[in-house]
Amino acid sequence: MDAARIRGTMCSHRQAIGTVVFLVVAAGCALTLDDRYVRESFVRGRWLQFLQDGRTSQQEVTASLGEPSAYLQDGKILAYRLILVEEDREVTEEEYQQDKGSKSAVNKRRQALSENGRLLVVRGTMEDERFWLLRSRAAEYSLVLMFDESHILRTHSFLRVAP
Amino acid sequence: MPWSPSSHVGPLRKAILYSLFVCLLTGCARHVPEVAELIRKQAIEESVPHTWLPLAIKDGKTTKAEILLGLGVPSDQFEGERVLAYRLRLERDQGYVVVSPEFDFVFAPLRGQGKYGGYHLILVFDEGHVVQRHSLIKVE
Repeated sequence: MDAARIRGTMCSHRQAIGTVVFLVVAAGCALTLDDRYVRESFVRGRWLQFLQDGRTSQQEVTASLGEPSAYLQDGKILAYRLILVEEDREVTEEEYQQDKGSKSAVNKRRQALSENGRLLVVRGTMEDERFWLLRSRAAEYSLVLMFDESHILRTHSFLRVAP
Repeated sequence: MPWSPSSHVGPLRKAILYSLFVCLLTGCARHVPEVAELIRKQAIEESVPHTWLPLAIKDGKTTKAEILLGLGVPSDQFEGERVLAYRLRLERDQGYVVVSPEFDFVFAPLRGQGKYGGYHLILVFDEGHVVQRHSLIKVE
């Protein structure tokens, strides 16, 4: 009778361990990167709402975003390379190294940036200390704007560049 | 030992648990090497596999505006803007994906990015800003 009880207890312990292992693996797989705050639709609504085809002028665009990364087709097309970074400070290398392997830290930073972030225009090659800003970006985007003869926005595209 | 339903409950539970565990691990596995190899082989064999690019490019027809609106800001431009270049990486589920000019083709595959290959898309335009010819070059 005692032996049977011991066997039963051991069996239930094994089951409990198995369940714990299962839950740990499931939890590890379930934690994913939250793309909500870096999706094109969110970023467009948060920072680029002023862009309206047929209405926005080239002057309004450069007044809001600054000089573009490139002018093409005699200035009819403006191309902006944009990166999402902190508004008031730069991420330190130590913070970056600490957080880059942690999905929860990345998700937390993305949420913070949705409130206190900015879109920074990348022009030319960002070397030396500015290269660090580029490397620590939370997300990157391509904004291409086509203007008509009257310098009014005809059409535009806003794409997220793969990380 | 005579057979009884109660003596088989333990092994049955174990089998279910292990099956679930294996299924979970299989679900977590992100890539199937055979498919990747097939994609890579086909990408090399075809001169330009249009269907896997983010937009269909036709020499003599596609305009520079269409390219810029579809692919975004080029990583490089030469001869003024007569030649535009994009950096791409091949993904199993998405085809060719535009990456930033700083994308590291050497170390990124170790982090699971671009392990099916990196590419340069080179586009040459005529004076009317229409694609004259284009090519996709694998980064070795």
